[in-house]
Amino acid sequence: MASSTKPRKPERPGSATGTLLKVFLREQKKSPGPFFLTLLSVATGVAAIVGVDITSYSALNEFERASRLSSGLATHQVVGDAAGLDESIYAAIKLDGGFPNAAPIIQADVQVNRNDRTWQLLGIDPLSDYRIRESALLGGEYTEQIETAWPIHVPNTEMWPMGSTLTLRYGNRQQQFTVAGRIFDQAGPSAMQAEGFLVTDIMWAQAFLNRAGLLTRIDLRLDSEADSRDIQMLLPGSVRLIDLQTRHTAQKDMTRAFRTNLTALGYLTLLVAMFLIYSSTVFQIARRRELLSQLRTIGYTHFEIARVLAAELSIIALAGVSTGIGLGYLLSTLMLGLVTDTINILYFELAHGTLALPIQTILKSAAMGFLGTAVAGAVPIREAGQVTVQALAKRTFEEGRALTLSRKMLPAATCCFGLGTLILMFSGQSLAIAFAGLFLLVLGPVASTPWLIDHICRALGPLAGRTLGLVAKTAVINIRSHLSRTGISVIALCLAVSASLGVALMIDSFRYSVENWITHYMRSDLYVVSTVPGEPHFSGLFRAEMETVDGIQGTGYSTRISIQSELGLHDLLAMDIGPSSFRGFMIQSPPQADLWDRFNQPRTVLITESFANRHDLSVGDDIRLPTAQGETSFEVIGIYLDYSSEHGLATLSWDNFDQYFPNPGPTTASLILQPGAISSDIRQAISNLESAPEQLLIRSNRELREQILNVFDQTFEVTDILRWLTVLVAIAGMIFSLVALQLERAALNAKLKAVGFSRTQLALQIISETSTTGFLAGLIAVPVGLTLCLSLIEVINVRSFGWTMMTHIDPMLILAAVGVSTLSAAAAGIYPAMRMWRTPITAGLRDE
Amino acid sequence: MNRSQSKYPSVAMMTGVSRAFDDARFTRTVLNNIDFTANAGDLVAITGPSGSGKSTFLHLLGGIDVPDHGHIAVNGMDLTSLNETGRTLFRRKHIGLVFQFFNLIPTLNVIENLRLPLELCSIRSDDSTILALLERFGLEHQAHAYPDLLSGGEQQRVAVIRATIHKPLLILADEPTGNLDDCQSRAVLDLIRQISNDGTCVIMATHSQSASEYADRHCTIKNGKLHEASQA
Amino acid sequence: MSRVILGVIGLLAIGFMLANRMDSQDAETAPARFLSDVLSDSAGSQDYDHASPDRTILFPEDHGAHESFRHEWWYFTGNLKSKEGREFGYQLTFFRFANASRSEIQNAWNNDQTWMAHLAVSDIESERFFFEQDMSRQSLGLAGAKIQPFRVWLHNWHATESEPFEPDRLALDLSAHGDGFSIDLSVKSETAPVLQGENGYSRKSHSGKSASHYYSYPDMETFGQIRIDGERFEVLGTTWMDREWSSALLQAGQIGWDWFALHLDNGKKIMAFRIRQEQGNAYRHAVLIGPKQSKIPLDVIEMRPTRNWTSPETGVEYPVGWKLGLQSEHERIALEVDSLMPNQEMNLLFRYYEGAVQVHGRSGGEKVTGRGYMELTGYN
Repeated sequence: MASSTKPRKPERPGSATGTLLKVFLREQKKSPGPFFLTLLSVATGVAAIVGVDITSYSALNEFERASRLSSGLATHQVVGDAAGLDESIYAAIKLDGGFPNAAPIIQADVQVNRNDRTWQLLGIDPLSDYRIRESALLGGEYTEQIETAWPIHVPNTEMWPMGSTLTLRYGNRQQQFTVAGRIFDQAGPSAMQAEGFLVTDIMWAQAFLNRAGLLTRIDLRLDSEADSRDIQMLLPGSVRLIDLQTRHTAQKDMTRAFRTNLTALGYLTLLVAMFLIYSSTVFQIARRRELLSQLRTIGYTHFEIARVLAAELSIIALAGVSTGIGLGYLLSTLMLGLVTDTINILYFELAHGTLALPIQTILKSAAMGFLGTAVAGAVPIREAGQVTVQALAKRTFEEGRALTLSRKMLPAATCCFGLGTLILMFSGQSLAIAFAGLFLLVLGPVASTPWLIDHICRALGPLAGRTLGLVAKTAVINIRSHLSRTGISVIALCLAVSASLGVALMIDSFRYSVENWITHYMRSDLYVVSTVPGEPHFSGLFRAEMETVDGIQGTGYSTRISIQSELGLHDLLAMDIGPSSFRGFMIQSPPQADLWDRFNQPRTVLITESFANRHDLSVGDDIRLPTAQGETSFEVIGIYLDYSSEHGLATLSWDNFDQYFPNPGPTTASLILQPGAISSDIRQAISNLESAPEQLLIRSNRELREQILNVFDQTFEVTDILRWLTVLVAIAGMIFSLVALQLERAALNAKLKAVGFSRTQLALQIISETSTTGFLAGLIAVPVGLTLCLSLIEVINVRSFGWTMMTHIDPMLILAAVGVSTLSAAAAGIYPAMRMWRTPITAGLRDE
Repeated sequence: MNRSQSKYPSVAMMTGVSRAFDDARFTRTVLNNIDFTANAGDLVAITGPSGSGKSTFLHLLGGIDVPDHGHIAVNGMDLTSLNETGRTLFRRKHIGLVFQFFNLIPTLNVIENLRLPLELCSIRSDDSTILALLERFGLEHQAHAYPDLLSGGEQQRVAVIRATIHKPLLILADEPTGNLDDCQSRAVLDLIRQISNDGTCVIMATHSQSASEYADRHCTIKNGKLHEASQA
Repeated sequence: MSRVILGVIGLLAIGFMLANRMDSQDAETAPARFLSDVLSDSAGSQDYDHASPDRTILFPEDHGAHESFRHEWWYFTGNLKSKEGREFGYQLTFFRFANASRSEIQNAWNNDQTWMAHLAVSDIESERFFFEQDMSRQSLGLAGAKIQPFRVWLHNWHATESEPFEPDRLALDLSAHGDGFSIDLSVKSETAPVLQGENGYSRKSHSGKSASHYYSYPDMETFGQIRIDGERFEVLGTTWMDREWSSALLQAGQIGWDWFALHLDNGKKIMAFRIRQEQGNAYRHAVLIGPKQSKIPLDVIEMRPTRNWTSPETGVEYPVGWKLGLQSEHERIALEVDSLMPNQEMNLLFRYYEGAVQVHGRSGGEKVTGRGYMELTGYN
């Protein structure tokens, strides 16, 4: 018998644990609100991550596939200047160099049957191309190609059956081709279809494009550095060998900043969701205090209870993660379209890719979901185990530990802020680390929100009482006493609002800067652009005729080419403009009176700010550009602001361009009209010119400006989605915690009613209490949002794009942020107020 | 279980137990150097004014609370030598608790509530035993009802049955009839009496005169001291 | 001669390759279709010149390309030995293939001559086999053949005359490299070529509907280097060079061939082949080449496989051991021919077996041994 009185090691009361879980789950079933809230919090956090991940993964996939489809297994490419590449270089590589894995390519954007879509015509040499594109770019019977004149291989023969004909248009050339085969890669013909590939033999391509003797590039598969050095030796001055690895890296860099931005917002959503998980877990436990102490009395150990609570939370997390993955997938369908559109506009044509749900995304987001839930739930669950049995008998309702009000909060928050600032300052080039710093920087002040609100209320309480009466006084007192419960939701709300405000302010500043830049830069009234694929250059005749159109006061011309210089692949802009247009350049470098003259001197360039930042260049430096005369040094004479290319570009005068580069003529004209000239007439007149290119785009200053801003706005649509998602999660959390709080106070409200408070007074008190909390949280979010905005502008943007922008603080955005915060909190008070309104006094008092 | 009194002179024993609580301004001594013994089959009523320490006394015996000074032994086991988990595991097996409110778990029906202590002690039993017990106390018709459908008296009777179902040595009841009308109270107290008659030691805190009349022994806590009225 | 089929594959093979990748069903039927299409003289061969017994072979002109014929090749196979006695075999072949002029387009890529080259090295001791192919149009000087000084090349693989032309002398430098192996050899014949068949007109069927122009340098002294995985071997040995051009090589129903070029240790050389028919008897031909390239016609009494080898790569079974029974006016020759190492399969766009062999047997009562090359095609 002695043994029976000694405490044993905890046995495994399997069924007791099971019963406990049953108790919890039945309770959830009875009032499923908190269950679904927790589930939804987990789901939203996971969905944000999944959505961002799938979107960037799919976009990246698409991106890589696009690169792979066109460059195959090539490791390097030989490219010439704008005019093309002499095909004798290909012969030299094969004959003198003895490199077997080289294939000549002619590539051009063409149109089919006057269809709007642009297709990429690849002219290949099948006898060497198979060494680069193992994925069999060319299918079908070569014999048929031999026997067919003007054969073409298309991705989808259902669209164009074998033997059918299609007319290809390139510039003002057109040619009927006969479908002779089908092309595809591992991803199937649909991928080639999506990318818009058409393939023909190089001889037909050269003939059709009128480029006899010229190639677009040579694709190479090289094994070693030594190989690439040997190839270099074979190349004349203006021809360059591009390492595709580094080129792809550069291209990936383009989307990297974009991706990091989205990912940061995704994790922000998860973080806000974690606060929500925390507060809903606290609520779950708070409302179960009686039950828990009862269970402890019966003989459940705190470990057993914590274990079952954890199991219950895991079940919720599992449901949340699964839901989140599904929601994230839906979210990504929305976002991928937007991202792809943006990439299309900003970078290059990308097909709307098929969504992939990669296993690593599922694993990562599930891990993040469970981890987030575990971290958020650990504290309250641990606390729950420690509920004393006395709580039962005393029947006091202990508030959760006022973690957020603790005196330790302030130094912790300060440390967090300081650490964040340091990380941000010293994060080097790593965007991810910079964002981590940014998180901390924001989290610090945001986490001290309850503490701040407490102190504000302490200071303002008496004042409110004196000026606004009893209701206000009670409200202020209530705010303070409830902060231990609402604190976490307040933090979440403040975090979401400040992050949202910061991002919104940054985007607004960006937009403002772009607008300002457009105003400066675009001084002409009409812009004329040729959109003829392949041959967009204006003829001399067209230029001359255009200038004689009545009503035109001045003209400027420009053309933009891509070159591969020692600084990598970048754009070169040549401008044939007068001094008045030149003043449109927003020069960032120290002003020089003779800049216009110097611009027209030989071998000088202006570079954009992003170009300068990217390559660490300043005024007076030389850059070497591959010119017709071989590599030539150009002096950087000025740095100007430009948002048209995130890679940046170098601008040189028309004379310089003429002298050093093959100049096929301008592609864009900017026209200044005489006062009183009618824009539409002039547009008509230009379009009607005999010599006008077949496809001409004429835009007024206003149209172009709108177009640019539309592109700008579209770029940030995705950001908006995530921003609002975060705010919505926070609002949901706020509403929930306030509803929970007010419901708990049902008894108190009943008592107050019994004492003589009117329902109106009580409703007013509830709503003023919640809205004041929201207002204060919103107020605190303002300086935090401003700090975030400045960090984004000064650190993140400069680092990811090399752009500076004017900080433009729109007070409306700040008002909106405070407003959203206040209104969402006020809205959170409505439901409890309504319940209070409807509940008879007796119901509230019954339990007493 | 053999409840030989010879082997264990007492089921519950307190020696020199003191317990004080810190209030906002000062320390309030609730129990001061108390000695107490109860044996198997005893039905002890503890009375005293509100806040006198009746509940604290029961919490200490139940291992829910620990004394500042002194020792508490239940069936020979020194509770003060055990940690929180140890006390919980001991309580789970050897002590049954009944309170004024919230005794039953609302999301479990009567039979599930009763099964809980058995599950905790890993005692295998089929529902027929439990049903038999319910029948004995006239509650068989409520076996599958949820607590909120039971009257207060029924709830409390189920609570008492639950406290005793795993055959603990000691039942502690804190105001078991505090919330009940006379008729219901009598039913509950009858039940407690029967349990005590079965040989279980029952210690009941109450301020109801009628309740204390059921007891064999009558103790009063006042000003931190326990006084036992001489045996009737 | 029997290298015919290889010469034909050219562009068609590429079509085959791509069809293969596109649709595996096509791949299975492709070789058969390919053979019948190409070897019959119906498919547009009227646009080309045809082999004729009246044609006189002239040098150095006929070393160069005959673009008016459909197919042509310069074929080198050789058995070599390093100073240390390590044995190697090699093959270097340049194929030319003509296709009907396609259009009026004026650019370098519109060229009706297509070239393909094969390179292989057999490292007998370690039983390693290296092979490679390359292809190009005759555009931009990427491939071609010229007469004086003689040179045939594809990219930087080439055979180039190293000493001025003489009627009874041909000296060439051969150079080609594959992935991890290469050859740099000098080959030289001090005698005039052997004109196969009737003064270089070689029948490929009983009917004579298919035929080619064919001459050989059966024993060219060879020295130079073979490189394998960075290791260099100085080698010596003998090369057999074949030249053949034609527009119609096989007639319908002929499905493949087995061909032998053997050097016996008594100084004599044997060339023998049979062209297998879908139905009926194979067309057989053999010749004994004696001192001063004297040709002695041989009757083929026996030509049968004795041993098969199955390629682990492709699963194709090749007869790699043979019994040859040949009969001249004066002597009877009985030989056993065996591959020097099993895997010498050219697993390229079009698969065949081209391998170094050893020979044992009796010639006119005397024991003989020897080395040589064997080509087996049309096995699936």
